Amino acid sequence: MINDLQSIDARYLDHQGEQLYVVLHNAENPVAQVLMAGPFPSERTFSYVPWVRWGRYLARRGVQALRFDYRGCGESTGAFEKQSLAGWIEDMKACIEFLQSQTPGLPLVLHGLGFGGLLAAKLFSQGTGDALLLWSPPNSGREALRAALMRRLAIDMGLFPAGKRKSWKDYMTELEQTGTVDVEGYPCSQALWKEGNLFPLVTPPQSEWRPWKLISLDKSAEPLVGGLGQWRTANPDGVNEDVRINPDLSSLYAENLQWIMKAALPVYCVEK
Amino acid sequence: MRTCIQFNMGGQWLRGTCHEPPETGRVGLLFGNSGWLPRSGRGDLYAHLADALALDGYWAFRFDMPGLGDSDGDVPTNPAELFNMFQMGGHGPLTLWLAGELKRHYGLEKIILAGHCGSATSSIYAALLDNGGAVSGLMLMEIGFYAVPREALANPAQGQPVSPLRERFDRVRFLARRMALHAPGRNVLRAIYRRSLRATEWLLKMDLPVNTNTKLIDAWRRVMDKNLPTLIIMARHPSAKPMFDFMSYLKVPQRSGITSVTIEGTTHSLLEGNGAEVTRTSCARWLCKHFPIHV
Repeated sequence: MINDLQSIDARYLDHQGEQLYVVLHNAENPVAQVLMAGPFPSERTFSYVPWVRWGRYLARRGVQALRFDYRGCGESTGAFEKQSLAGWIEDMKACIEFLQSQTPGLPLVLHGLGFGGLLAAKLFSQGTGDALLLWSPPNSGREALRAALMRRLAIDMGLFPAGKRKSWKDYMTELEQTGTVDVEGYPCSQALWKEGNLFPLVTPPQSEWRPWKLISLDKSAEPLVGGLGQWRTANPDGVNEDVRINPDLSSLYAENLQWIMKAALPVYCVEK
Repeated sequence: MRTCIQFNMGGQWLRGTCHEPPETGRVGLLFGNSGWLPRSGRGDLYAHLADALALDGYWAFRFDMPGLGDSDGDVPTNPAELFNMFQMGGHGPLTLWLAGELKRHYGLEKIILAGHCGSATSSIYAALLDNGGAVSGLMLMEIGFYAVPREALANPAQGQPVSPLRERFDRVRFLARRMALHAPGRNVLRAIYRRSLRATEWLLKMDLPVNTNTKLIDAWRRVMDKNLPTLIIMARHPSAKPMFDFMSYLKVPQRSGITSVTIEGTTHSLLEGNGAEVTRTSCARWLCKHFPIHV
């Protein structure tokens, strides 16, 4: 077995004039590969620890896993306000190309957490991937952006007294007038907002033969789920005593690994 | 331009990002994690700051400490354990080791330790441990001088050492705090808790809050005696509850060699209002003054 401490390959891919950050969790003799599309950028920092652990968990059990940062976010370069949902799907395609160049022929599972599920489902609907695993995807791009802005409003409630803080309407006006609205340091553009309105979650039809699964994570998976957990600790006067940074999510991981194996193995056997 | 870098320490890979300046400078900046967040920081504050300072000619390095971000290792479930590690200087030796490795690997003349919150604390401990001149300056954002209550830790002995009498007092205080935070009617209890704490401090003629991290205060004083150029950036928001002013207590404004910047209208994350922008310009100005690239 590969020593887990040495099985991570972090690098940049040149992609459409920017640097796309990818982290490959290498597995020894892999039987499947998973592209892990992370949550909305403002959620990324809080879910990072269990998300990385999930990647490590998969790699240790024979599944090659690739994490990445969307352009304009985290370690990837680019101006956030210039990004779009379509552009982030292009990022995923570049990641798939890289992943498949590393381990050609392996069944590919598209996997998304929250907002990432929305993009993964879209890509799956276009015929990419052999299986789809969604963790708590929003119903639309609009819902994802709305949730992010709601958190901005919640922070405002801690910062400003009633009457002196902005309302939802104020933010929408600001978006109309200035072209962006700041969500936790990420300037969401009007174009992104409009695109989100026209971006529903595409769940596969009943006729879909490729395996897919949608799981709604509950409070027990708190750091992974947007809106439930750690973001509140970063707020003024936040109570963080009950927050967990790195909870034991092994039962969630085991259940999903089992599903990935079940979904990918028939494809793997046919390919072989 | 950003590149991925990694160093092996005792079998564990520490992963980071290097922001290479367009022209080869000889001054580097090292950022650690802000709490348990990955090395880009909240709202990518660190990543953008490092990009901007690299454009000014400085090498900027951001690293994940063990178990955080992309580095090997594990972190505890309970944030108090991690905060305690920061507060008690657990990452100090590692930060200093990284500074030395970066200096050697990139042929840097000087390295400045930079960080927000937890990594600001680690930077102080690293500078304290530095006997070989590895650290040339400090850029500290939103440093906190409060200790994690010993009672919040699985092993209280790993917390701040206190006298037996103080330990008993702290136990009572911790229980009262939990009640104030979690019981029904907690807003009233919180107010009572705060007032009784202030009253205790006044009665005992304490010059520091009871939950002060005295180990860090001591480390700070000893580091300041080294006369390293230091930039301190603190946030102030009108709605924030007034807390103890450690900067005045430590006579920060009066000390030569320390540049103190207070950003109005932002919060601890430095993201609200113009926090991120003022942080960038303050760091750039301070670096230009104390560590000019083009002399």
